[in-house]
Amino acid sequence: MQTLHYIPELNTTADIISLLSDIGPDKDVLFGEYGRLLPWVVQSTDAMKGGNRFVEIILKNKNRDLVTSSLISAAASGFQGALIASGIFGKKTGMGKPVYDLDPSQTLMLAIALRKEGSIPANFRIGLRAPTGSGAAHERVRFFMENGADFIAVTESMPFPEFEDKTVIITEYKR
Amino acid sequence: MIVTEKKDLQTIRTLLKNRNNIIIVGCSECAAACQTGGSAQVKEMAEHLADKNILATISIESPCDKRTAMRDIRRIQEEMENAEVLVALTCGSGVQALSEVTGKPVIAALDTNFLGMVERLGKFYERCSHCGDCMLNETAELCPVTLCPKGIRNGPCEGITGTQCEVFPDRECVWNRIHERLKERGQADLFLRFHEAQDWGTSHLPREVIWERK
Repeated sequence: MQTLHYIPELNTTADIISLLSDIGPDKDVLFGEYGRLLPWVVQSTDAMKGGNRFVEIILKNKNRDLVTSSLISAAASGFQGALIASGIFGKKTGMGKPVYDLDPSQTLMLAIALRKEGSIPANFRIGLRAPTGSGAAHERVRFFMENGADFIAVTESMPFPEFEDKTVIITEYKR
Repeated sequence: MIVTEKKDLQTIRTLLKNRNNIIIVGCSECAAACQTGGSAQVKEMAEHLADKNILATISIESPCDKRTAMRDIRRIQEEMENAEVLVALTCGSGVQALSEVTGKPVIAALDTNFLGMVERLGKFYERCSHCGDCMLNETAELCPVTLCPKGIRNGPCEGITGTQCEVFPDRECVWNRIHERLKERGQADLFLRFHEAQDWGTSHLPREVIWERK
């Protein structure tokens, strides 16, 4: 089973290099969008070298146009795949308007269509963070798998035995 | 029902600075039910502004309806002519209708919050976001666009914790409730029916409905 070493926040390029050194450059790494830098900045560092590089695309701050360009940009920037997530949303004073123009299922459909039309390459892997813990969650994961997801990502061990070969475990790294 | 809340009085006083001749307008429908703009609140506002020259107070049945607003305003035509400003204890739609009907400046004395379901007085719940693309027939009459803080049309999201919502941990995830209710009704197949993203090409603001004459 694959493990993705997750860096949720990219704040400085020095941090990225240092975290990657801790993780090990040959490991598979998932770069998140919760920091001040967009994941595309990784391309300007040595961090693209080594293992597989994935980018997390969160939906809380994007409309469908930006989701589309994020998917295409991820592929064009040399990432091996994208992990789609709705994104963490906590209420706080003065927060921006959450967008959620697309949900993860709609984004999966969009990504599959982009791959079909050739806007992203056929080998660009599309995964989704999996909801867990209820019958409803299980049904949604089944929907993802039946509609073309290459993998699902979880933070705990194997909640979906029937999709074991398509499950990726996420391990988080922070500064 | 349109759920409103009172603005603080100091804000209204600031907006009324250098204005003396005032008419206070209430709403005897939604704002009355919210106890923000009924006749009691109109009277209360008049008492708060007793240092001003209150030319008239009036409660209009539906101030958001220009027809009833125009009809009722006629009753105070003379006072209206002398009014410098109206203080509206109505929703935002009412404020704008009054402005259009009277041509006078109107001070919004309330904040307009949401379209609410009423459980009892003082308990109002948002259940509909008037998105214009109703999916209630497929979600066991639970609107995920409103009841899911992320407005997710195909849920649950990855934030679900057991059966609970990520954003409001004390509340059950609406998609869990939808799933349970559909299963109970023998309609589990509806749960995975794919709902397309909203077409904003037909639902961007401001929306209008205009009947065509036949």
